Amino acid sequence: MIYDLKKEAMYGFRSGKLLAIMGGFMFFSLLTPFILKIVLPQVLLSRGASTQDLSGLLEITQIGCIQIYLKDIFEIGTIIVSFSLCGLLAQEIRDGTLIIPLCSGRKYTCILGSKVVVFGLGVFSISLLAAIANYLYSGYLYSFEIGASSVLIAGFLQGIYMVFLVLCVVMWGSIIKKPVATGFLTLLTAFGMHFIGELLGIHKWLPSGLLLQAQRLNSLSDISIFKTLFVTAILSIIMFVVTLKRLNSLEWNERKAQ
Amino acid sequence: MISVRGLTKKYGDVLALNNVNMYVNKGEIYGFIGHNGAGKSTAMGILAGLSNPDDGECVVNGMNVRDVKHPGDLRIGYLPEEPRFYPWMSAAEALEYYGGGIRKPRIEEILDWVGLSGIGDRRIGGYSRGMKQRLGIASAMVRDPDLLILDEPSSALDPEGRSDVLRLISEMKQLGKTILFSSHILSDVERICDTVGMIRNGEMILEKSLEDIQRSSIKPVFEIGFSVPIKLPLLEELKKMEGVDSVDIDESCLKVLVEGSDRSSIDIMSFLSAHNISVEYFQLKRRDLEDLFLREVMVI
Repeated sequence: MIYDLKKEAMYGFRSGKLLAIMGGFMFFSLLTPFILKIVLPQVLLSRGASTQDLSGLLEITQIGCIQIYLKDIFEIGTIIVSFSLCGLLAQEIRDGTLIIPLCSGRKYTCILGSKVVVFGLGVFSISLLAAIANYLYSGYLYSFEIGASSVLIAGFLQGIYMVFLVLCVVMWGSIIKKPVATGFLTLLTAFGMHFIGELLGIHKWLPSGLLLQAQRLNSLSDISIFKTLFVTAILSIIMFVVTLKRLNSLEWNERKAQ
Repeated sequence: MISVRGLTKKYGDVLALNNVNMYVNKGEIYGFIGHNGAGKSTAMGILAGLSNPDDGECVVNGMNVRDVKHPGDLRIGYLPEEPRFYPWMSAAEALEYYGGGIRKPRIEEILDWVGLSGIGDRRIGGYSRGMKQRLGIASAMVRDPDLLILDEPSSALDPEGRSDVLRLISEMKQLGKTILFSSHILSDVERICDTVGMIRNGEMILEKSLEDIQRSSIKPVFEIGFSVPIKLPLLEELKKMEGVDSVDIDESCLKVLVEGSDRSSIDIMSFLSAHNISVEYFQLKRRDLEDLFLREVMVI
């Protein structure tokens, strides 16, 4: 498996996919406090808004700023991860780049496992780093009102959610085999899950509950997330197994024969 | 090394392979020939464990492909028709990955053998088709398998590239490997193969050693040029001569397929002389595998 991990790490860095995700997350983590504290008041004042109109904006604190970032990054981050990694497995199946490794003895479990480990770890670390960057920059612009541990927990929960998205991408990729369609299906899964959670009030039974819990910025003693983590873990395992089954049933020379 | 009995494969309503039988013996080079869409790649994909047969038994390296859970378990070297690599990897990195951590000296040895020693550290994305083909052969050899299945290894290469690939295949045989390879270029097959299998529309129509084919199926043919057209009754008479298999006329050239060249040349010359037919040229041509292919495979 070490060679599969090495290959995926090389791919992640050389293709620029991890860099693109890092860039996207960092951009929004730094842009949110900058916009809220500096740009938006200036723009509104230049358009003739009174101080009373701006009072809502001026009341925003570091906590509010972090919560806005965490809310926005669910939508933007989901889009960035879904489309950056949409070809992670789908493109390989489509191009037939897995044929030689398979015949050379590389195993499906190792191929798939290394993708999930490398890119899962990648998006998890990026989510955490972006949350820390947002905390530090918003604290610098406003003032530090909240302990770093709550933000670390929020980044951790958001990271777990992004790992779930990586599994979603590989599962849809193995079924659809088309990168762009895989991206859209992952988006549909993420936003659909969020919508159902809102509609039925069952977020704590869905992975989307991780993001809601992250936005609350609770301390470790206050959070009740184990049900959501358990469901997310079970769904992730199911998606991994479905992907493996799908890979095992693929006919690799089907395209040529047809 | 390979035993195939009654192999059948369907894609929807299309019967890609119909009751195919083939046997590849240890240490031989087996040439698999047939027109486009005849079923060569389908058969080779099944033998490489990349696809399941609908019916029949395929034993590769002593293992039934139906019982194999993973293509790598067959312990063969496989080169697909269009080998696809990761363009962001170098050839040395690709071989390290495929080989599961084979040592650097071995990687250098393989790269040197396929003629990529100086450019092993360059990204594959910048490689030409010929270089990729060489890398494909290196990838097939990376685990040092006893059996190699090569799908069109010399196609789309220039004559020099083709010649190099044929040399590599011959050297594999010298190393004790068994090779099954498909090709459209029949002169290549004729140059290096021990046994030839011909497939037409998913059915195996011929499987013989090259020696047997040359002895029994590839017969001598006399090409005779005339200054004046030869008359039809004389042609009929020529066809009935002892030792003459068939007579074809192509403009002012007569092609006479005979059983043996020694006696027939005297008989044909005597026949032409007796009928006062002036000959512009008279030459003996040995029919090659291509002629046989056109005769056997291209018949619809």
